[in-house]
Amino acid sequence: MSNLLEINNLSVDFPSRRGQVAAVNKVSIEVAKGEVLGLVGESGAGKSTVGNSIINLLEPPGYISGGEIIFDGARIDQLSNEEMRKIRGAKIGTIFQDPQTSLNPLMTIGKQLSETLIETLKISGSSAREKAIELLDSVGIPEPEARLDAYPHQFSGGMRQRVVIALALAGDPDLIIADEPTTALDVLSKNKFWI
Amino acid sequence: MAKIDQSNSRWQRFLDNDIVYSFFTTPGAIIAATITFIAITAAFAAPLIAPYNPFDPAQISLWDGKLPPAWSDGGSTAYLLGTDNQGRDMLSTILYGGRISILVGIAAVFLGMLLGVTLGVISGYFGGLTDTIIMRIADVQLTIPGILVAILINGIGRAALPLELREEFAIYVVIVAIGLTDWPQFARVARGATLVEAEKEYVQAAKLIGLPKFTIILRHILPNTLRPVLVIATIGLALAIIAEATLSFLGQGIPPTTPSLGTLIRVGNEFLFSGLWWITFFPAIALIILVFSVNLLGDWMRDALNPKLR
Amino acid sequence: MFYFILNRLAQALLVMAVVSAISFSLFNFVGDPVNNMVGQDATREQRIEIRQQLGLDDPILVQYQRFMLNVAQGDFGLSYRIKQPVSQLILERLPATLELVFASAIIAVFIGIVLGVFTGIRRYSWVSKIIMSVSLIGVSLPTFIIGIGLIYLFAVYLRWLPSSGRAGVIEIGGWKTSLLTVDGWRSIILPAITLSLFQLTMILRLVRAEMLEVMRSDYIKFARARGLANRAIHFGHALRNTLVPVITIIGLNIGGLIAYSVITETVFQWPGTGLMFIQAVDFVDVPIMAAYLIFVALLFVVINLIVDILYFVVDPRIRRGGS
Repeated sequence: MSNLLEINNLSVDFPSRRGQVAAVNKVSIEVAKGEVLGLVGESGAGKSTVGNSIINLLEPPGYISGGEIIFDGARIDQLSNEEMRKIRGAKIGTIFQDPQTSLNPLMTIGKQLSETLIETLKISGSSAREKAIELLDSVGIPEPEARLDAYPHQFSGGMRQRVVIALALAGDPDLIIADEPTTALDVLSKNKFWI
Repeated sequence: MAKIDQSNSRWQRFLDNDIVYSFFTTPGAIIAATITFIAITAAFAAPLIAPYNPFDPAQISLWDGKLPPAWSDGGSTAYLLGTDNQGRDMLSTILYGGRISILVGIAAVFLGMLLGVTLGVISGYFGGLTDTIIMRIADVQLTIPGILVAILINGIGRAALPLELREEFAIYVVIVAIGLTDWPQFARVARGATLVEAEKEYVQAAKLIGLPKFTIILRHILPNTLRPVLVIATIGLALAIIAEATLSFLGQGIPPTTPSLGTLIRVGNEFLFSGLWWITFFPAIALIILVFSVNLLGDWMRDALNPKLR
Repeated sequence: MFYFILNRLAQALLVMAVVSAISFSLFNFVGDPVNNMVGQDATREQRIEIRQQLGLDDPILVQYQRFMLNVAQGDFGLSYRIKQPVSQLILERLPATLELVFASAIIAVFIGIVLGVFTGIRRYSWVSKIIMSVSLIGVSLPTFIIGIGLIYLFAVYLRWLPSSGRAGVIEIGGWKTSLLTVDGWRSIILPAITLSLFQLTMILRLVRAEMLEVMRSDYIKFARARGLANRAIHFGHALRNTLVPVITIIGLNIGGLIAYSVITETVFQWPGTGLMFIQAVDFVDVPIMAAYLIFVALLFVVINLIVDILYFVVDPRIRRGGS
């Protein structure tokens, strides 16, 4: 199969006291290597839910009630959390909607980068620091070395999202899931993001 | 597939209300409410349902004093929970005592609510210097634990009264002391709700039409502060009851002539060492059950009324 | 940062001014100071003389000034009942209260945080459910009932521990401590546990609630999405963010310990400042009451100042002036 990601008849249900609410109903998609696929829909259509189910981070009490998710030839929707964890970050990177809340406000971005690098690439602390600087540079953050010790609130919105991108790319994943990455940004930054 | 409820009858809608749903599916809430209800009714109906009137000297017989509960050796079914050292029936004293405890608690919370909501709404609606001053005072008071504030105000109040009036007015000093302890919580919450409501369009519209401030506040803003205030009030009631019991236990609350549960516990404590355990035990249990159920009710209410936790 | 401290200091001074005004009013208007000093049988001339001695006929502001000057020097006059300087009485009884508060604080903070983190991380385990139920009881039970219960169980029924009083006191350089003897420990345990329980349950529930809230946050979700291990998430991210608001609350709780020590001391007849105050109210011993009022206010003002500054230092967002 040349498809990197294949979703077949995925259904996600949320139990509520009025019965099961189907957030996602038999959705199938295919993404090949190198391909960019956009999911378009109105608010509440279930786009984020599809993204969340791929990496098995559904908000409880949601659960996958049917279908399968195949990544790089192997089925991943039935994996244990520990097995899934190894895929997250290292193989599949995720960018969430709001860069402000995605970053821990009390931790320097250098630390948040390093811990991700150490966990996914299995490198040492010092190499992690170097790699972190490289990453920041690659997403267009000026003076990356100095910025390592900065806290998230010291960045502008657009810069923050770049940091988030750097974090998502840190593990050198094969697939990136981006959930409305520019929604929380102002108009100017939105344009910069896609450049 | 999702089922969507189409029934529109008022009763149906009431049952479907999130809060009501939560109430009926949380067994703890039902038990707590039932107990609270029973306790409150019992306390209010004390004169009617108590086997004796423990404060009528004609009904007390010293010979019957110090009797253990009915199921122990030496007890009698005439006095189900035993008697105290003066021959008063424990069950009756608990009912009368509980009555005082609840009444004082309700009065105190009511006072705090009145004062707090008034100041809070004024603070929120008019803003500016008034707001700053009121909130600063509230903040400062909140940094001191309530019970200490109550003890201090109560102590000063008692000291300020001339000697002869101290016992008579003790109960009012307690109510005022606890009420003054409570107001900042109510003020904060009322102010918050007021700020939210005042921004809403229908209030702006009312202002534009030229409705007098007082009407706007009364008719529009006040009803919307009720929800959070209610939560605070229930929790406050439990705390008020505990506060009064504590004050009475310290000897600075309700005097033994018309004792509350706290006073009973204090008086009974002296007999703990001579083995007459029931004189303290039963008032203590009554107090615990009362506070526990009011607390559970408050907890449930807080969870049910908080949209964030659902 | 400077402006912040200045602002807080100004507030503190305002509070002290108000409290001292109340204290002063107590002194002047409650009861008749002259009566309290010389009793009922003094003659008219004696009263006039005393009034002049005490300066009671001077204008109020002058009296207030005198009062404040005295207070600044720690002079609160003589206790009506014990006839000793109030400041001396307070200093004598302070060590007892401080040691009790200290012991309780240690218990409450450590056990509270540990249990809070545990019940936050393992939310649905049956151990957590038991802990939460017990904590609900802990909040419902008034301190004095817990005290009586403990006394009855351990002192009357089991006879393991003393039921009241402070034993095993040794004096070290003016400070009478009971923490250095076995007897001392036996007598402090019950009051310390009683005093700590309320705070312990509060800290537990707070830490747990914070932990749960933090675990639902977006940055934790993102941390998971990056493949971070549970330990890194729980202790690296969650705990750090949980502790920030919790530190403030713990700081404020120290004040709570001092407040509840009044009750605990009375239940256990522990000879500290709290018991002193209660006895003073019973006898309308105004100098002690007035002094205690100022003493308590000062304590809370200082505690809050320290906590405010600590919070400022710990949370980088406030330090940089907002996020």
